[in-house]
Amino acid sequence: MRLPVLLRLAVTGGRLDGLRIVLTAFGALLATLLLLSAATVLAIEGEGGYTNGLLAESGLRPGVVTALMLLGVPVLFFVGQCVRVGAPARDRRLAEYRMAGATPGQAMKLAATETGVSAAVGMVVGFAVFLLGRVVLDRPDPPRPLPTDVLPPWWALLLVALVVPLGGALLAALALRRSTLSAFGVVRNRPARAPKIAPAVMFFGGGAALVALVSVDRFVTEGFSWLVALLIFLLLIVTLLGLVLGGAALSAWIGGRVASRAKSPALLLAGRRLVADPWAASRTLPTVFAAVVIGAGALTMRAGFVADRAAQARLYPSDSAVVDPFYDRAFALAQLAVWVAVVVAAGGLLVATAEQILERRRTLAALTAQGTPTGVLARALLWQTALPLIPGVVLATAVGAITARAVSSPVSSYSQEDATGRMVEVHLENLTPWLGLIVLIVGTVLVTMLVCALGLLLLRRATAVDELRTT
Amino acid sequence: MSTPQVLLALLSAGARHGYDLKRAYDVRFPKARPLAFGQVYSTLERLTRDGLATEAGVERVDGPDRTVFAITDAGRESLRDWLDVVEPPTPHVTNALFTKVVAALLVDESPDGLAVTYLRAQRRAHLARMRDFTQVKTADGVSVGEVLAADYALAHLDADLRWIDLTLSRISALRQEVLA
Amino acid sequence: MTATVLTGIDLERAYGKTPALRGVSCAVRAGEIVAITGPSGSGKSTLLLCLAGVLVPDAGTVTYDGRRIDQLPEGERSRLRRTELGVLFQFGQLIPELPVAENVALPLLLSGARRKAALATATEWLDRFGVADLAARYPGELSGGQKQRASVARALVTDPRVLFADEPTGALDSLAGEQLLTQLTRVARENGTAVLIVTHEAQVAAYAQREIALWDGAVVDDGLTDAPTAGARRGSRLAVDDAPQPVATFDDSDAPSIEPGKG
Repeated sequence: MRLPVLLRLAVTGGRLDGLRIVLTAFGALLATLLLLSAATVLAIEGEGGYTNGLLAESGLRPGVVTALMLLGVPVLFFVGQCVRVGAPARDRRLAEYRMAGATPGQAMKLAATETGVSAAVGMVVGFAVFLLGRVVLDRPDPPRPLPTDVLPPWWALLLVALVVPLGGALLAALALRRSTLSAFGVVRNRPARAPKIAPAVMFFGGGAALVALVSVDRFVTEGFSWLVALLIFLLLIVTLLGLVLGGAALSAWIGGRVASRAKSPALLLAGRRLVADPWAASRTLPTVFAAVVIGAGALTMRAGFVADRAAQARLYPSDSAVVDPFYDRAFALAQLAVWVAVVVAAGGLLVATAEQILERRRTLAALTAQGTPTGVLARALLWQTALPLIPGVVLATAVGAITARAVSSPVSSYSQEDATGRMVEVHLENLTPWLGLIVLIVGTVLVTMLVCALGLLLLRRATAVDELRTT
Repeated sequence: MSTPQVLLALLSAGARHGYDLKRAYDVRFPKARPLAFGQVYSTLERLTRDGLATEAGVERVDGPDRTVFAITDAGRESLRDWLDVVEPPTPHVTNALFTKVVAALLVDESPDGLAVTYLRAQRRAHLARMRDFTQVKTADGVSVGEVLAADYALAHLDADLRWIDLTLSRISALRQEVLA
Repeated sequence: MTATVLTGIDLERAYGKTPALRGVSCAVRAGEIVAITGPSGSGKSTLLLCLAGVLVPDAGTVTYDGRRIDQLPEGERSRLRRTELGVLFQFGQLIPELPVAENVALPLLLSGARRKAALATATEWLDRFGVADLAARYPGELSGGQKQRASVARALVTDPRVLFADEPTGALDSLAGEQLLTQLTRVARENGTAVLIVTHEAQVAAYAQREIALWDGAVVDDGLTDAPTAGARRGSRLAVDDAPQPVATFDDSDAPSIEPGKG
């Protein structure tokens, strides 16, 4: 195939294909921005020069880069959701190419090219946004708030420009690796997996063990034990894995419970859908959960930090004037990162919702014609997200808070010499940031549901009678 | 005419006398053209003459003596042979329907003219007839024979109707051809 | 003479610039089974959807039970469709993740029925269509005919006064289609439900008592007037071949048969 032909055939198709291309490009844009930001932070030299200590101190910059890379995870989930949009239609198109005489290799090349081209478009826009942002956000007199005076070296820029589209194409090819591109359709070689019970055991077992360990440890050990810290870390990993992997099992379980006694049609539809396709929601929900775990952890750590500072201030009233704002700012940044991650993950949910509506538009249109109010269908879609989301977010918050408590401030009181050299008992107050955690839970649920509700805008179009016309 | 074969087939289920045969025929082929008694007896006579059936005895049931007929081996073979022969598919191109449409086109060349009026009226008549057969077919306690006969009639009427619909769609083109 | 339950007058409807209905008028009497026929693109589905209150006609009126329904807001029409009117399509109407019984019970649940009562009624209706044993199965496990029978049960579960069926047997083989139509028409007669069936097949139309034939967005035969109209011009008429002869005779003179007896 010649390049023009390849490009022409790759970037074509109906409205779902268009949506997939746009969303993939958007994901690539986000990835480009993240990579360029990370490269910029790496390119900063020396100490000082910025208002934010995280950027100013050379020792902290690798941490910032790591955080930016971690933000890439929800973006990857988002892109992973996007490339699935309209997959059946694309698979049919690929099958038609095969029918018309294309080899499996050529068909795969077409699919990879489509993603690659979309990613390239996103990359170009991302570069434009980045360069524009440097100019717009620049504050000339030091210390600057952002490193707008630093440009990554040319080879780093070139690397980003190449990695984004090539990575996209490679991901698309990898996604089709397990499929057979036949002339009669794309055959998925992997059977649909049933949700397993193991993740649930991992989650609840790990969580329970974590709580037990923390509460027992508080009475038994004095001070800090590396063994306990290691155990806590391992248990946290197990619990998190259980949460991520168990999203489907959780969804299916909740769905089954709700559907078998639901009186409201919306709840019935949502519950049954969760049972039938628990993976539909759980592909992106774990990203939200993971972000919430980190967010709750950061909140609790800060509470411990603040409590300690308050106690010290009571002990040494004279020193209380000197409070380093560095940590506050770092925690604020961490919170910001968590919200960004939640919004990006919610974007993935939006795409999943939109895709579901468009793929089931025939059934939805038939239901509407038969007198099912659009409101019921909309509520069913929202419930479908909310049912696993709400308990998941609560659990994730609990996991994050408990772990942070265990790691950063396992004890609520300790003995210390005061200014006069006497041993006194120091009591830490407000170690659990209840208000912050509730804001996190409610906020995450609200943001996610709001973003998800945007997908409902498609519902009216999908239920139009045109979708019913057989001829 | 396939009356001989039909009687042989009825006899192959067991020996019967003429009156019995006529009744069995009415039950088995309810929608077919009725069979006269005289035709039954003359056909049986012919079958016996050709050695396909034989007189198996005389039966008296509160009335006159009735001759019971049975199928012979030759009769069975002849019946088999007849069943083995495929019916020639016969397109009824000389059907009055077709003739009328072509004639109507010759008479009235205007669009939506005589031919179309005729076809629509014919369509209605055909559908009414199909409705009758559908009612027969879906009535309670209908026999298999009746269902099969109705299916057969429906399929043939349906073929006519398809042709009528196709012709309605094609009529302008057809008119051009006829008038050319 | 039974009362008219549904009337459409001078209905017009276009998709973009393509007209689908150009002034169609028709009426359906209570308990009557009517077929709407015509070739593809003749506007038969559009007429059905307009009469059912799914589509709003560009011009003309639809009157159901003495009320104009074409001007009602979508919410009202939606309520009407799930209570007094039933709608049935060719396929794709059962929700794949709901067991059959819940699928059938859905319209009742939407109208606020109790779960248990709704499921009991649904099972009753499934039984009337001979698929009660499939109540706990999922649509994906059913044959086309079984699926369609469950769909009919769902369309009738609210005991509507009019059932609108758009090519209900379009995805079925002849035998399954016949079974469906036999049951559908029988149940409709028992319940006094009027049925409108859109079809392009004469064999399906023959299940109805009357045919409304569409041609290019207009009615050419509503089965009520003395003779169908051909269009603008009405000339002298040729006599219709009287009732077509039943073909199932054994001595059709056109079909030569082999007669060993004479040989």
